[in-house]
Amino acid sequence: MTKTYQYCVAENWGKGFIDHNESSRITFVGLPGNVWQVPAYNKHGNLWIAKVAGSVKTLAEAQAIVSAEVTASQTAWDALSDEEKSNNSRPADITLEE
Amino acid sequence: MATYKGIKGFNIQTVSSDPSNPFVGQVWYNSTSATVKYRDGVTPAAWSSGGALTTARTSLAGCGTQTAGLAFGGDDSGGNSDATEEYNGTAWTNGGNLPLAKFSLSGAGIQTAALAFGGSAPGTPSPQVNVSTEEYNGSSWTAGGAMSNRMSSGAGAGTQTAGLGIGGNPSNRQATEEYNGSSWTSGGNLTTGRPSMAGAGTQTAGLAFGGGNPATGITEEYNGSSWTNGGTMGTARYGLGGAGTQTSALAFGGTPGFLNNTESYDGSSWTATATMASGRRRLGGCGASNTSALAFGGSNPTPLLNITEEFTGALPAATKTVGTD
Repeated sequence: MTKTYQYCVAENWGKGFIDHNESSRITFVGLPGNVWQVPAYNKHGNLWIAKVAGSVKTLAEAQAIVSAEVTASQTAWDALSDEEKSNNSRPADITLEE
Repeated sequence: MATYKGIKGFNIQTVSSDPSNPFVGQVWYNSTSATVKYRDGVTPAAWSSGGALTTARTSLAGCGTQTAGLAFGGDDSGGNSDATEEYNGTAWTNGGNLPLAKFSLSGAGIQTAALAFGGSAPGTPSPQVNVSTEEYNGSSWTAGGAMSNRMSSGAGAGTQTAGLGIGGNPSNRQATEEYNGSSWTSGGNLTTGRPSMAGAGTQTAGLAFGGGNPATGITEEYNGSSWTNGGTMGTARYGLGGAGTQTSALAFGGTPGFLNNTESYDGSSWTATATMASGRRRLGGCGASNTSALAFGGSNPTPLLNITEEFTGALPAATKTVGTD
C-alpha cells in the first residue's frame, strides 16, 4: 500500500526547526512525544528529516509513542475535579494514518 | 550530462545588471557580481518554528509583536505561574515575575508597556485575583487599578493606558471594561457573553472572536462604546490564540480537540490560511496584524507546551541568488 505520510521523532530546538520555506512547501503535523508527520515520498519532507536529524519511525512505532502520551494525558484529565473538567474536553485518542 | 540548454532549449542569458522586471522562473547570469540569479515566485503564508518558552505552560496571556512579544502567567508544572518571558524574534528570556501567580488571565499592550488583568488562582473563586491588574514596564510589574468586576478567561485588547477587558467568566460575562492607565470603567456589553475568546485591536477599535463552551465562531467589533457583529469564523473554537487589529486579525488554534487551523480577518470576513505544525488549545498569542503573529505554549494533549510558532504572511516574488538564497 502506498504511504501518504512518514513519521519521525525529533526534538524541536526552536527557531529554524521548521522555517518559512519548508512550512510553505509541505504540511507538518506536530504530535505528542516529539513525533512529526510529513508527506511520504517527498523531497522536501526527506530533506527536513535529515536537517533535524529525525529518527524515522514506522507507523506502528509512531502510534505507540503518541498513544502513550495521550493515555497519560487522559489519565491526568480523569483525575481533575468536575469543575476543571468542564473547562476542557477529555483528550481524544489520536490515530495516525499510513 | 544534461545541460540547461538541453532542457530549456536556450542558454542562460548573461547580463551586466539584473533585469528590471524579471518574470517568475527567469534565470540569468550577472557578470558584474559573477552570480547566477533567478526570479522566485510568491511564497505562501506559513508558520515557522520560534524559540521555545523557558517555562512550558497553558492558559497564559500574551501581548506585543512577533519580534517583541511578552508571555506571562498561566498554568505550569508547579501550578499557577508568575513567570514573564520576553521574545526578541528568536528566543525567550526571563522578565520580571508577576506579583500574583495566576492563569486564565488577560493581557494587552506591548513588551515594554504591558497590562495583565483578571485571571484565576488556587482556591477559586478568588475575588482579589479575579479583579487584579498589573502593569509591566519592560522589567517589572506594579499594581494597577482593580477591575470593577471579577473576570477570568476573558479577552484583552488595547494598550497599557487604553486597555480593554472583554467578557469571560464568571457566568459568561457580557461586560466590557475600559482602562485609562489607572482605573477601569464600564464599556458596552458584548452581544454574546462568553469566556475563552481572543481579543485584538484597540480600545476604540476592538475585536473579540471565538470563545464559549460549547465553541462559537462569533466575532464582535467594538467602536469605543458598543459591540456589533462581524463575520463569523469558519471554525467555531474557544481557548484560541489571537493577534492583530480590528481590520487585520488572526485566529489560531483552540479547541474542540487541539486545533491547528488559522483564519485571517480583513474587517469583514474570515479566510482560512496556513495551519500551525502543532495544534493546541489554551495557548498564548500576540502580533501586529494578520501577516505577523506569534503562538506560544498551550497543550496538545501534552499538558504543558513550550513550543513557539511564528506566522508570516505571503512573501512577495523576489530575485534570489543560486547557492545563497
